[in-house]
Amino acid sequence: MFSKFIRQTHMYLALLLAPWILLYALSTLVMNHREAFRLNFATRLPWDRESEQVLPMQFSAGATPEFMGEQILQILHLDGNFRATLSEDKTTLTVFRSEAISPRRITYSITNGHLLVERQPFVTQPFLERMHRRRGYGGSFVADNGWAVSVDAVIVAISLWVLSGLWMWWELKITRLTGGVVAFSGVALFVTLILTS
Amino acid sequence: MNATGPTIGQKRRIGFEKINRRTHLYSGLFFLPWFLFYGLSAVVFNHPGWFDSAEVNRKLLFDRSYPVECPNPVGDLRPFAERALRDSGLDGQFVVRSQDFDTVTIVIIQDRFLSNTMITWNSASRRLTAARSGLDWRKLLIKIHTRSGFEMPGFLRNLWPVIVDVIQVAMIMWIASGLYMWWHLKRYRSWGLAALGCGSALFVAFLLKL
Repeated sequence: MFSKFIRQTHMYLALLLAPWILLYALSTLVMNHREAFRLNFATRLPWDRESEQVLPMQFSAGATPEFMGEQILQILHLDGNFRATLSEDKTTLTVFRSEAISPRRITYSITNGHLLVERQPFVTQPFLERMHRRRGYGGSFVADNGWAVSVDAVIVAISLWVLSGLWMWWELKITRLTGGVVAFSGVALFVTLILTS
Repeated sequence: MNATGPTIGQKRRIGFEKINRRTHLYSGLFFLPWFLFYGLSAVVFNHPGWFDSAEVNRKLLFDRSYPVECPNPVGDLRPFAERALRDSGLDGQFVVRSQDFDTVTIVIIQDRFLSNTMITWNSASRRLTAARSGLDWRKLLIKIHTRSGFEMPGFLRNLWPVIVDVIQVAMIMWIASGLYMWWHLKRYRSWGLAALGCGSALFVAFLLKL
């Protein structure tokens, strides 16, 4: 009974979280070969003009870039995780809306209300790296905190896969010896690399 | 199966299933430490507030006179660093930089999984000082999680990113072989499909809402 529970937990957790594991595997491959994908990385990608308009808004003297950015995103119905910066002369606000699939950049002129929305094209490598690096609680958006919960779920699942995998291996008496040698080799290599590099 | 035993097709399928299961099991056992540490170290990134990020105290290794000619602080500092490390019995990869204020200070850092050694030389005192930090679990987890790329010299250094690649391939293979095993357990198909569907739908929803 317990064995059945272990096997089913191992399997159903894997089926549920397979997209996350696939994402982390593919993104790690990309990040491990960053040089090969250098031309595709975010800083080199073009920003395509999406829309342009005049948006007359007046902010109080002490308004922070985050407050201004949030208000503009709400008006544009683009709420979500963002980063906002104000130019040194305090005339231009740049809002980087870090959408998962295709990020947007909103440039707003505080002096004349001119607003430009640009979008980066979808490119696989930066998308994978963005998703890999996305984590942590504390944001004000449900989706961001939800993603952090899913990252925690993957962490717990990895621990459970390891423990349940060991259990299943030990139950399969015919593989105990070979499995023991293989597991020992892996641990020995891991420890050697940690100690020597 | 008929009275004369399994057909060639059935034998092939049974053979493939066995290879599939064993590959899933043995690759899992071999890469278990990496997979486990990738999971555990992700906690540091998802919950940075749980960990104390204060610098760990460094222990002095030596502080001795080193009367050599001061290198050009804006030139190539690597020959100086290599010689200073060699003369100190320290080897391995390093990063070197200079701080040029009233006097020139050369700072050499050797960063390894278990320790971080800082060697400094000052043009006024002509002294070479080395201090090493002890084990810092937070930094160790971060290093295990983030070490990648093939830019570093040395066989063992390059073996790590090779293993990183192989583990990712293994993870993709675990998904494929796991899906195969699940699909052939007919009584688990519907619940498995529900789990796979829910996970995929949730993932797509995140992609659209984030």
